[in-house]
Amino acid sequence: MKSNVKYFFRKSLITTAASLCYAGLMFLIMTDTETTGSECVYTCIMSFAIMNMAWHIAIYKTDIPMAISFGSTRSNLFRGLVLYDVLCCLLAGISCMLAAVILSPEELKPDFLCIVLMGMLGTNVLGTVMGIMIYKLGKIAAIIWIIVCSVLIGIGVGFVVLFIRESIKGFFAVSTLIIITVVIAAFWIAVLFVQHRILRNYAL
Amino acid sequence: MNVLLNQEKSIYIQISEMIETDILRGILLEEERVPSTNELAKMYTINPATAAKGVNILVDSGILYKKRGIGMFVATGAKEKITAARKESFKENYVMALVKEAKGLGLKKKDIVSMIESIMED
Amino acid sequence: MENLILECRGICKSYGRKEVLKDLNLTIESGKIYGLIGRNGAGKTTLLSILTAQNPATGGEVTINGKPVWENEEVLKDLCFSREIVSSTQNGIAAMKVKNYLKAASVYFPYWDQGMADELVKEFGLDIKKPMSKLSKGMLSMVTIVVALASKAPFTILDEPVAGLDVFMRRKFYQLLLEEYSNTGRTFIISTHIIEEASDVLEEVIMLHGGKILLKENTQELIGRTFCVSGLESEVDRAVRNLKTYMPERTGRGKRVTVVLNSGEKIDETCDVTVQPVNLSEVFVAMCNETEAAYEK
Repeated sequence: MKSNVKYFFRKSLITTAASLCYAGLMFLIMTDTETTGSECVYTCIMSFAIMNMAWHIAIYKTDIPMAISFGSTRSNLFRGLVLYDVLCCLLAGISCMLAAVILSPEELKPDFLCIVLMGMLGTNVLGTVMGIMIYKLGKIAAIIWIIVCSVLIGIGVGFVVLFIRESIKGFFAVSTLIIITVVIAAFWIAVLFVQHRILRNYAL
Repeated sequence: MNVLLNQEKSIYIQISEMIETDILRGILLEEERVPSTNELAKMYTINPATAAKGVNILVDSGILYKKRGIGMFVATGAKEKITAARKESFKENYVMALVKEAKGLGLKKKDIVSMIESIMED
Repeated sequence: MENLILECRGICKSYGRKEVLKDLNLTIESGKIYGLIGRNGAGKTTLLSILTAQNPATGGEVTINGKPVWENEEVLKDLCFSREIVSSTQNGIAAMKVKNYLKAASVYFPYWDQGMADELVKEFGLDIKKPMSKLSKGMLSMVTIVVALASKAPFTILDEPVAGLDVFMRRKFYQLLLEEYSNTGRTFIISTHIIEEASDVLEEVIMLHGGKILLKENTQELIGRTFCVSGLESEVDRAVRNLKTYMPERTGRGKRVTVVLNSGEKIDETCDVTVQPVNLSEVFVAMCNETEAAYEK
């Protein structure tokens, strides 16, 4: 177990750094002083979603076969993968929030924090599904999934954020966001369950 | 065993024979240390267990003896023992084959004897 | 070194309808160098994968000292299976840089010896900054050898370690293997097609054929009881009557046959035949031919 912890901890640092660079780049390209806080957030979420899917592809192509070939058990590997996802999520999310605090402190409200958390969890769901898709169903399914995700992100996230902010204010906004976050977290756990089942009989 | 061509004997037998020949030639002297099985394995790129088998043949026949913690040594009188044993098996290994080949070619005893006389001095 | 016994009992493996391994039993005692030989497609890699829990068997069990290997961290840490790294675009591992691959190996193998790894990299002249997809087949073999030796695992398995290596490097490999074996007494299982070269180094040979273990025996003893008998057909038949023979070849009035003696058996020495020793690869070919013939009947 120690091996997987060590390996994926190191990997999560590298991946988060890369994700933040990429998100930062997108942020600089796509936003300006006129952009609202929420629009900035979903630029970040979009870039994390892409990074998340990319690293999940890498996991199935490289990290999983390598760990098994080096004698790791599948359950330890699975735990390592969960650790990796959680760490990347946390580190990226915290960095996002820190950046927001520095750049526009007035935006920092509870619903903003929820949106970041929701975004990170959501991208993890998309990424984990991507990994499963490419492993089980191949490239074509993966491409279809990318298209689906782009649509989801493009419409869904923006819609949710704008709708909640503009139409429902105050207490209900926050509680709705929390419910949505919990739902997304549940989705993530379900997807992780699928991943665990796939890994159980993984054969090199 | 009717062996006319003897190139590929078992490796461990070849190892023991090589050590015996070294003793006969004075490359290894009595009471001198013989290379260890690991050293032999390294020298000939063979498995140490095979080298050990070859060495054990010589230990069993009293050519070598083991000094605990130090290694294998050539026993006193090893040279005589080897010479005697080889003289014994000379008939088996060489003469029988020679006679058989000669018979196959239709050579008679006196032909063989005169051949030997022409080659060997007394 | 602790006495470990790696045991396979009733191992079966099928891919769809194709049965690759059938009720296979094998016991590997620690402290020896084993050779695993078998034809292409005989299932050597599959067997080795199953031994190291990298591939699930369809039936049967693999244990070390009675403890199952499957998903067992405590037991798996004593195993290392260094596979051939196939450099194809589909394989993400091949896209890694050598140094990152070795770094990952050092994290996963609990007994990893970094000093040895560095020494071997230097000895082989490997450029560790290169991605593995840019290495030649021979250099890829060297990477797998580095991983296998530096892992310091009590049971180390190498699948075709000399594939693509030139004769100098192959000799170097056997020397390194013997040196490590002499120093540590680790158990090695080497699967190879270059049987003859390796036979001096292998203490025991395991032949895999028809999904089962054909034989597992001390190499020198096996070679010592196999002979090629040739001469006039009638003489040869007389010399080998009641003995197990393989691959009879007739040339005109002459006949050649390979004989494997069981304990107590002898070739009739009174017959006018030539008896020659037979090397390991010839033994293997003879036995494979025999089993093929048996199947055809």
